[in-house]
Amino acid sequence: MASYGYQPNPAPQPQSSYSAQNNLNFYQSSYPQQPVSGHSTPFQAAYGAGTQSNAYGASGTANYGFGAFPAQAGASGQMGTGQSGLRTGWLAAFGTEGYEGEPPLLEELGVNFGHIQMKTLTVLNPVARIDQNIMDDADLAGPFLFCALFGTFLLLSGKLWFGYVCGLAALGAFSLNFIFSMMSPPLSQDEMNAAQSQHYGGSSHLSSTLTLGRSSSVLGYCLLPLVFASLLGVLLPLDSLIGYIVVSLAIAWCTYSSSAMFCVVGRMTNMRGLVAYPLALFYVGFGIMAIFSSRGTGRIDAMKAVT
Amino acid sequence: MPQFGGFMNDPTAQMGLQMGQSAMKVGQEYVEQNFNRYINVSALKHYFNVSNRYVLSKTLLVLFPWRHRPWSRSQTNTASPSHNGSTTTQFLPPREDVNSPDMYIPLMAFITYVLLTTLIAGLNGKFEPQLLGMTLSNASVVIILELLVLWLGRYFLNISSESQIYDLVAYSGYKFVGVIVTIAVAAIVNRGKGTGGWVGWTVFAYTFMANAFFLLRSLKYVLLPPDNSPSNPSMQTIARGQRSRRTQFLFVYSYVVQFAFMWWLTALNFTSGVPVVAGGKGIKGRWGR
Repeated sequence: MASYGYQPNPAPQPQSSYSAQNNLNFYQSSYPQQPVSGHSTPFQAAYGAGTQSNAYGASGTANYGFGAFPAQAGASGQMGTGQSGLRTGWLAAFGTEGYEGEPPLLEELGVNFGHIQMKTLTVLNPVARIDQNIMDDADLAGPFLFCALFGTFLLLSGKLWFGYVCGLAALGAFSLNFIFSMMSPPLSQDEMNAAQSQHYGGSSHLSSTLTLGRSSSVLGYCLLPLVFASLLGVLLPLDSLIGYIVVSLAIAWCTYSSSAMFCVVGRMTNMRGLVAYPLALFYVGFGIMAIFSSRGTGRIDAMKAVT
Repeated sequence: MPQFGGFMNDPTAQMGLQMGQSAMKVGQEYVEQNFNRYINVSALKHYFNVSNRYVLSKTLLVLFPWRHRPWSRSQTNTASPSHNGSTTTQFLPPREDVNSPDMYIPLMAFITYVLLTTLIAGLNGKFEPQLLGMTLSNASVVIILELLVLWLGRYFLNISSESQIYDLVAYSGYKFVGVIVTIAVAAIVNRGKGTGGWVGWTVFAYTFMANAFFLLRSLKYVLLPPDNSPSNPSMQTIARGQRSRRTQFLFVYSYVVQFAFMWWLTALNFTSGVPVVAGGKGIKGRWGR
């Protein structure tokens, strides 16, 4: 479980003078400055370091969002100057500005397109060398996107199987995470000490660096070749010889890249075949869904031929 | 002036946050402890400590056990945890001992069985996604029934040590290997029409006998351990009556029970609509649509 890493913030000088004026802070906070850890989200980094960032400068922003404070003096009559709070005016109402110094939405949500692209290219390149820290920010935005794409392409070829895709993905992620955390060798003691001190997010109980989030992330990213295969399935029925070959190649590609990632992240490099087999089974499940369908078995064509 | 998120600057809010964090940590430890009471995670890790060579040789062993010579598990002497100078003997993990049971092969064989039946159904043009779930539930019922038999056997036979139960659970999964071979061979020969016909029955008979022999040889050491093995930690000699009872259980289990379950798993008929177990009704039959 990741710690939230919310660092206590000191009050900068302008803030304390303002609050001393308006008696808004209940207490003067006196926590020392602490560096923001690298594992906090950009949102927290921005707010943790917000007191130091130039975006704040001399002007703060009013805290309306949480309703924790009574209406401030800045709310009445000083708005529109940009000094505190949201800008007023109908032009600003239709704009996309928010509070000053607020990070962009995608950064707040933790969706980092650069990372997604890097991980996707790592999957697509079978001969890429995989860095051990590639999965440190295990995001699920990419995997969700790929699962949604897979379901959409199945929809375009005549099957409404989003639920089954979702169920298979969830069940597979849970069981594969269980299997790999059982199979990975236990951490040595100093590795565990290092992990604990950094709020690594690994599960100390199962003593592995594989968490459910990381496993799901790897599995989702490596689904990409099957997404391509299902895209092909929109155009031609996959229940033919060429369809079998394409899907088998896609499954092999998925298994190859995901076993490489799992071996690196779980430190199981000498058991790659044993790691690859459950992954192959997982992707075969998706492959079966992609191949066998109303369009794939030619049932739709048969129905059309009858009428 | 207070900034956005400025309420977090208060010591009170900070204290609340710290309390929340520690509450979550305590909660998680509580959950993990109670989870650990039901499933001994560290004991399970022993069963997944496998290597490539072990998996290959064990799979061959399940299918061809006739000529394997020593069936006893190897033991090692390690220092006792209570540090009183004595040594306790423990079984070697599967990585180093081909006679040791593991849970990797049974689990993989189980999932492969589900996917293989679904694949063959799909090749016959009768795939539905519910089929994955149905086959999974079907095989899970077999496993649960077998666990029930083992659980009852544990009470009747006074099997005390916990690792023995895990061993029995692991051994019960090896029949899926034989089941997979039967289904695969029959599908290739019958062109996917099911496991009937004399080829299917011949292969089934062979894998059943191999599985029974394998279980007899292996479980002899689990159920009737020699006096100084780790599975007999209290060093009690098993009484004569109990010994014969255990032997009877072993025979009944290896032959009758396994035959029933393996037949249930392999008697698939792919031509009549949905691949149904012989005597079942399939999707449409059950819901009448």
